[in-house]
Parts: sequence; structure tokens; C-alpha cells
Amino acid sequence: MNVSARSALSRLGLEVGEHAHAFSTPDHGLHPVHYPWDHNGAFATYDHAALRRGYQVYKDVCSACHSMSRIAWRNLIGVTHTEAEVKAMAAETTYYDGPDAEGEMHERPGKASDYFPSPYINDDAARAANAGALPPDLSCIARARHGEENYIFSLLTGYYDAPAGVTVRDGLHYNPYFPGGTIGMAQVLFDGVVDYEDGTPNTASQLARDVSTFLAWASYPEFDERKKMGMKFMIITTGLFGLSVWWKRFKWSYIKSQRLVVQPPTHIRKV
Amino acid sequence: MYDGAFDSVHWRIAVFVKRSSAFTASIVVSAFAFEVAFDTVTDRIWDTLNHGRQWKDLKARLEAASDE
Repeated sequence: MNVSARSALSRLGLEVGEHAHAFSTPDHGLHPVHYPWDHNGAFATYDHAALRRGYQVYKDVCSACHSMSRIAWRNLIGVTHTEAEVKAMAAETTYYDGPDAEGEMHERPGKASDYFPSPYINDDAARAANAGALPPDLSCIARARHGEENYIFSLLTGYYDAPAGVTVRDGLHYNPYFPGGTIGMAQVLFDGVVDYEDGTPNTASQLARDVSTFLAWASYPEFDERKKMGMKFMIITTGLFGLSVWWKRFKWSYIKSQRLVVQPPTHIRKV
Repeated sequence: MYDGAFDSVHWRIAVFVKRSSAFTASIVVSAFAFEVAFDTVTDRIWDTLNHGRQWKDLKARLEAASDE
């Protein structure tokens, strides 16, 4: 039974018991709440101002440990930033490139076609720097986790003191939304850790909301266009359905307007 | 042929149906015109539903902010 149905029943004074599980559900991570994202619904695009702020949160906070190696600078053009802004941001990063005509490797400033730089040179370096825990690549993280942006938001805002009876090993942190209940990543989003250029309040939950939206976009970059096509598809198919109904009635009108009358023969021999 | 039975309205429609070339051309042209009109109308509906949320709105705000 889902949460809303159970709370509706409890409001009516009917308490419904929990299901009995052979395992403890918190061991597998709490299910995240389904938050009312403003890009939910059939006709809503992402809020691109939130995407722009979310990129800033990723850049200022997440990218210290998490790579986003499948996203290129150019992917931000026309989504969160202008072409000039993207080129300037890419040029701030140095890329190791080559070999050139003499076979030499060299360093050069980034271009819009380069992919986001990774904080570690490989996964082993990332594990070594994070007490054995690999910070996952965030390019497709919303697709890769149950609950998608709800999970990301819940995880980022879900750090609590461990309840009695739960031991947290050194270097781990209690977070009920993470399977197992303890996570290597410490809480990173606090009120005011990122300063927004557009004056949006930079509370921890606002930062988490914006970066969750940004990561959802990274997983579903076709989101806006797909929904717009969906709307057009529904309009066209509604019209075609109406035409098919008319066509059926047109073809059946001949049959439906006939009247069959049975006239029994008048000279029946009585037995 | 049907020619004798057509009144003026039907005759005008029949011009597009009688020749295969005209029939095909009329289908292609009307499909093109329909798509242009349909996309124009639905894009406008979409932009109204998502007013202030899309990149074009954000870009306008950024440009307005940088002009100040």
C-alpha cells in the first residue's frame, strides 16, 4: 500500500498495518518521497533557470569528487548557458591533448567540444582518495537510481544522526536513503554553500532541488522535446481517432438503416 | 467518366483527383501546409504552457540583466 493511501486511511481513523518483510526495508534504502517537481506532468518542461543554478551547484560542490564524463561543455549551450559563456567556462580548464605532428603531447585550454573534466585520473585514484568508496559518475545518475531525482534530493537532504542501535563505521555517514544506511559521502549541501547569481535563496534544500533537476536533465536531455512531441502526438491521434469513428459510422450507416422484415408464407399446410 | 454528373463544386475538387500527378502534388502541398500551420499553433500553445521556464525565457532574462 502506498504512503498516500495509507495516510488517507489513517485520516479516516483506519490504521493499516505494515507489511511483514523477511528483510528490513531500511537495509535496502528508504524509498524516496515523490516530490512535486515543477517539471512533473505531461506538458511541463524543465525550469531552465533551475538547471543553470543546478550546474553551478554541480560545479562548485559535486565536481570536487564526482565526474560527469559523458556531458560535454557544448551540451550546455542553449540549455543553461550561452555559447560565449560555455566557451569561456571550457577555456578555464586545461586539457592534455596530442600527439601533434611531432608526436608530442601538449596542454591546451578546453573547447566547447571537450567533455567535463574528471576530478580523478581513474577509478582507482578516486577510490584511494575517498577511503575506498568510488564516487559514481553523475552523467546518467538519475536513470541509474530508483526514484531518479527524488532519490538524489532525498539522499542529499537525508543526513541524520544514526538512531540508537545503528553503528556507523569510521569514515561513513548515516543516511537512510542509501542502501545499507551508511554512505561514504559526507553531507555536502548546507545553507549558503553556493551563492546564486539570480538571487534565489541558497538554502540547502534549494541547492539540492536545483542540482537534482540538473542531474535529471543530464540523464534525460531530450525531456523537453519529447514532451512537446508527446503533446503533438496526442492532438494528431485524437483527430485520427475521431476520423476513424466517423468512417466506421459512415460504412455502417447502410447496414444500420436497413430493415429486415420476415413475412411468413401464408399457405402453410396444417398438420 | 463522371464529368457530366459533376456540378461546379465537385468539378473543382475533381481537378485534384482526376490526374495522379495533380492528386499527388495536392497531397504533398497540403501535408506541408498542414504541418507548418500545426507546428506554429502547437509551438505557441507549448510556449504559453511553459512561459518563463524555457531557455529562450532564461536567455532573455540574462540579456536584460547584462544590459543593465
